[in-house]
Amino acid sequence: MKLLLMARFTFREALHKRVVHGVLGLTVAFLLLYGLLVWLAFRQIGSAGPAAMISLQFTLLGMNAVSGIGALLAVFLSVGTISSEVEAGTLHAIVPKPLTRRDVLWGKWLGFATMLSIYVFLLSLAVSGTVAFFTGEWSVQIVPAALLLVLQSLILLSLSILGTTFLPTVANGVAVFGLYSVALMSGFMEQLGSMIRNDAMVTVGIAVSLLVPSDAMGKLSASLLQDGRSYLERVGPFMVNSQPSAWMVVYSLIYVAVLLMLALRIFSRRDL
Amino acid sequence: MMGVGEMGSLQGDLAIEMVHLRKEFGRKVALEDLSLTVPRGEIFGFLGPNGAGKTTSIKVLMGLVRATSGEARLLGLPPQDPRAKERIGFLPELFRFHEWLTAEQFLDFHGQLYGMPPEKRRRRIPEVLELVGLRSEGKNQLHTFSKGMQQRIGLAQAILNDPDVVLLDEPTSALDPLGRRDVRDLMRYLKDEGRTVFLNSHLLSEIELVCDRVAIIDHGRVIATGGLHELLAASMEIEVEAEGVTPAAMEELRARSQSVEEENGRLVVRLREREAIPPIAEILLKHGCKLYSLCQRRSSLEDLFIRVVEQEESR
Repeated sequence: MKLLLMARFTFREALHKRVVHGVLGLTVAFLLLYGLLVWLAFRQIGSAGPAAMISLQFTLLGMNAVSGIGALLAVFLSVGTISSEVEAGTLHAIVPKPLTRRDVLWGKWLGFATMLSIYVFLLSLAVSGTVAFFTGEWSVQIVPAALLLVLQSLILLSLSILGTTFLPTVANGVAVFGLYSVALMSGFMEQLGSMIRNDAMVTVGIAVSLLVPSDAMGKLSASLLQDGRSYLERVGPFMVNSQPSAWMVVYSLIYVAVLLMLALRIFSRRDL
Repeated sequence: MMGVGEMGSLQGDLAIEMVHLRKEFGRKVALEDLSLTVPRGEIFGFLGPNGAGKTTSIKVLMGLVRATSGEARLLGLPPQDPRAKERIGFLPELFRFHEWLTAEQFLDFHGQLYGMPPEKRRRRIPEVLELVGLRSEGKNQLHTFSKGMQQRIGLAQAILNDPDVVLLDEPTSALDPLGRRDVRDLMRYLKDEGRTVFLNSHLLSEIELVCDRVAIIDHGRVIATGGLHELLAASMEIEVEAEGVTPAAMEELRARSQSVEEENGRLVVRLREREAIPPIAEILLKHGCKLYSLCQRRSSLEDLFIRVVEQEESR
């Protein structure tokens, strides 16, 4: 099937991209720094007292970083995959071959999605594993929490794929990061609104998160990790007060599917 | 077994058909009303000034651009039809291929895109590398290739699937004279194999050397088309060196020709056909002119091109 051929090719091509080499370098640096921080913290407190709280906070911090790096990778991988290849003429040799534009577009998405999923999932395990190395305990919910971060990065990937079918590369980058930031802001607004019991803020936050559900997946992931922990353990910069509904996962999956249909519609009609 | 209709459409006599193609990009009209047919088994030259709509027509044929109205057919099928796409090879004008691949990996990927099975790819890839003169470069990465070599590998990609119709958009722009000769030989080889070659090139001398038929387009419509030799012969010029040409003689010459002009003391008489040459000598002798020489100028494709495009522009 030509869609899988494009997906495999896209995956192989991504391995040759500088942005991937850069992100891998960044990942190594991040893991070293993260390991150092966790080590310093646990060296001081040992396994006494607030160890459970510290390990939760470190896991949340690490997962927050995974979410950020995942978003970065999702956008930089795909930001110009159609627009720049139209400009360079690379697509002019591929599209006339016996395959459909759906094979080209969705194949690219699938290639990037595979890479992102592997990366985000493994990095999440690395974060949890680092904490487990010092405490001897893995976060119970790390696998579903990691999968939610994978979904978050796929949401951003799909937005970026949609954008690149009609926007020039730089404009698309600005647009997707803009939407990502709006989602972050709205998530913050929802949490703050819930803390000070301001319903209007919560409503606006939820409304925006329907527009771009990426941050909702991040919050859902963090709230899974905090599940069943006491208030004292949870309190901190990553505490989730207003937990997004589990239906948001279903919504996000439909959201990704709709973005991909829309992107295909635009790409199919576009003159290359 | 294939149905009769299907056989007919796949094995029709026409390689390429464009019927009243029109393409607008916003307000700009790239193709006005382009109709053209290319029979099978020929090398067909496609010429026109910059911005005439050549690349747009090719992109419509390749399914890269959607026509606003009108129809394009390849081997009797619409351009999006996978059965047509399998039988077509295409070298785009501005192309950059995936430079991290080696020449062999690149061709292997494109072979997979064509849907060629592995054993066929293994057999065919060395063959096409040989045909384009890159036999010893198969293991080298494309980013080490010169522009000329990139163009050659692009050609290899266009003939990889052993296509019935090969469309080449400026295939020799980056090549030196030797490379151009290689590409000419390749086009003749394809023709001998019964393939159709559709060649878009600025290099009129190239087209003159290989093409059986040509079409000249301007402002998105065909302004001249036909066999190369007929087109060139359709209008001929003779150069006359004579003394004592009286106004009466001039008048009669004008009446019997398309035009008469003076150039460096000689008369250049434009005629429609060969048969009109002897009467010119008769007129001159009848009026008592001294005729020193009368010779036919060989009209080149360039003259023809400039003439028809200028006629079109002044219209």
